[in-house]
Amino acid sequence: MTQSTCTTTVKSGRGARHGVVSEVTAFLTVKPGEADELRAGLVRFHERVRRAPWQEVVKIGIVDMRHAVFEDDTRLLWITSFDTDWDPYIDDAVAIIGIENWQDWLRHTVEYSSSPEAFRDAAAVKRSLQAAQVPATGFYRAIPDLTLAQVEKGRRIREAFERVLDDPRAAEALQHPALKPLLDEAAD
Amino acid sequence: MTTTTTTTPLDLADVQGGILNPRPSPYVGTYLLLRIDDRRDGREMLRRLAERIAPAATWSADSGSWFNVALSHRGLAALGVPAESLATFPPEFRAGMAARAGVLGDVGVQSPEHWEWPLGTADVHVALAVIAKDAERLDVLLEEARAAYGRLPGVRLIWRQDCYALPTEREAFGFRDGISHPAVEGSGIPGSNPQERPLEAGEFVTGYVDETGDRAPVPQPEALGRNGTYVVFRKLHQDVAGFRRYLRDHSASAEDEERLAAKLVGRWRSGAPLVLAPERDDPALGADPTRNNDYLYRREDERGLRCPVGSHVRRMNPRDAVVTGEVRLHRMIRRGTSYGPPLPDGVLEDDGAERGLCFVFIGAHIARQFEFVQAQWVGDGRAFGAPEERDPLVGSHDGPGVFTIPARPIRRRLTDLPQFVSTRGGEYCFAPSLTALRWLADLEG
Ligand code: HEM
Repeated sequence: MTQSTCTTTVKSGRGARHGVVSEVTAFLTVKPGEADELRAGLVRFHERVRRAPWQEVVKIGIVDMRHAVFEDDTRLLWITSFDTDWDPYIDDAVAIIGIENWQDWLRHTVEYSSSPEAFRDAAAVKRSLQAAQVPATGFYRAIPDLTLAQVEKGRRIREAFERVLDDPRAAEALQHPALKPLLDEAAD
Repeated sequence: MTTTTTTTPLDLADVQGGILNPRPSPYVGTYLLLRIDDRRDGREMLRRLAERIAPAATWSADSGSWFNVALSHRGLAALGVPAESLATFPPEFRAGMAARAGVLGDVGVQSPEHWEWPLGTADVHVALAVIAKDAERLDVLLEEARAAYGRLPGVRLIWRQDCYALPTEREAFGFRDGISHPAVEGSGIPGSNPQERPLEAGEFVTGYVDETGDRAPVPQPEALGRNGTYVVFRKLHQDVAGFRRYLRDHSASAEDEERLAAKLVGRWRSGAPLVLAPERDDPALGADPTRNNDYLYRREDERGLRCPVGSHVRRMNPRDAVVTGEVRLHRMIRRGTSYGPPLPDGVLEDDGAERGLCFVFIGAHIARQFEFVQAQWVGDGRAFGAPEERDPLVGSHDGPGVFTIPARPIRRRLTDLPQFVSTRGGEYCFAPSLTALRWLADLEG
């Protein structure tokens, strides 16, 4: 595994990077009295993303994401990490997930709802997040050097390999010299 | 983990003798559960028992027979321990084993409402272990126990379980048990693995620095809480006929059966560990206490080609193998004893008899040691990189179990493991120090 340090690049906006992944940490302000609606919108948002088929997950690029409402329902923390750099791709992610699904919760934040372009321009999502973003002092991912597509490919190869190994003829088939690297992995 | 240099010496003069020490071989035992209906009688019983319990400092298995006494949370309450004091015990102990069924995987047909009475009920107050080298001495000591509780109308015997450890030290599936145990810093009791550094005393006795480098809070007052240890007992039924049938149905020869059995456990039936005897059983090794636990995993067997990563003993103590977490925080002392008639050799049909293991855990941290091991290492596989697998010998499966046996050229994967072990019930108890037993006996009101 290549060692990569946590760096902030111009491309990743004010987010930090570890390997091929960048992060966004944002503290937003909850519109007074709207915390319950905000939470409900977030639940729907997460459900939407969790239901996405794998191809779409890769396209969206969100590696993980958490939202937490805190300080007596006045503030919202959004922490996420993103395949590659988030800055160039966030508009795409907004489009793929569907602007209405973002607005469903963002409308309950001061940053979004007070933006002049809110509800008119998709770029308002990015701007309101950037406005609320704070630089991360530390950012660590255990597997920094694999993109989602590579992880998915690895999973498919592993499953295929297990199916091969379940076949009683596998021991013989893997004896071919060209398959030596696979045979080395076949024992456990 | 840090090694602490300024630890308080372990006060063996105050710890109940026979708890930390390995038991003699063979031996017989009887576990008694008692209910306290009148606190004064309960205290009187403890006073009588305390007089008969030798401190660990002078205890010797040569005495031939001995008692140990432990109390459930409800038992402490029944003796009149004040609520402020009860509240200082750890939450899982206060809740009791039945309330922790979800964590322990005691669900479905194994859930507490199906447990053997009175296990898991509010009636279990005092657990008394009566242990002896042979049946005659056991009878004598049982008589003495009866003298301690017998003529006290406010104390009632509610359960009795006779157990034994065979001269062969084999448990019901036919494997030598009681081999591996940790060394406890300052106890003078050697561990069985020369390659394992002794564990800090606070892992096993309350009031001492433990492997976190800290001294965990002691139940209050100190006279009650210090120099004690927690005892978890669990009656575990073993489906011996089912185990034998599984081996036969998945093997081509008798030799194969033995190999498969060893792969599930991580040791051959003789006790010889697979890491040291990868090809065939080595009874001399199995029987030699100076060698049969002298091994680690990482250098000899990182990938589990000798001892499967998912086998019972490797899960229960991964030693130096790389798994999620810090192994030294999840060690335990075990005192397993068989109950029920052994199933005669060669029998493959269940005879309907109740048989299995009276599993006993000893440690200072029920949640971090017993519950962690039961939930994460028995009932889950994520720590070992195999989320779909459970302990193949003692795990509960909610469907056919999966078990991978690493092998060259190609690993073998079993996908139809039935469940061999089922919970019949149990309880979380606290074995107080000798000071604490007297403190309890002297309670007023
Ligand atoms: C009926 C159920 C069980 C049977 C038949 C069984 C059997 C065995 C056997 C044959 C050994 C190897 C001998 C030895 O090292 O002493 C062993 C080791 C061990 N077992 Fe079990 N066991 C059972 C349940 C449990 C449970 C429920 C736990 C913990 C929650 C547990 C924890 C351990 C530990 C910690 C070791 C020592 C591992 C080592 O240090 O290498 N066992 N068991």
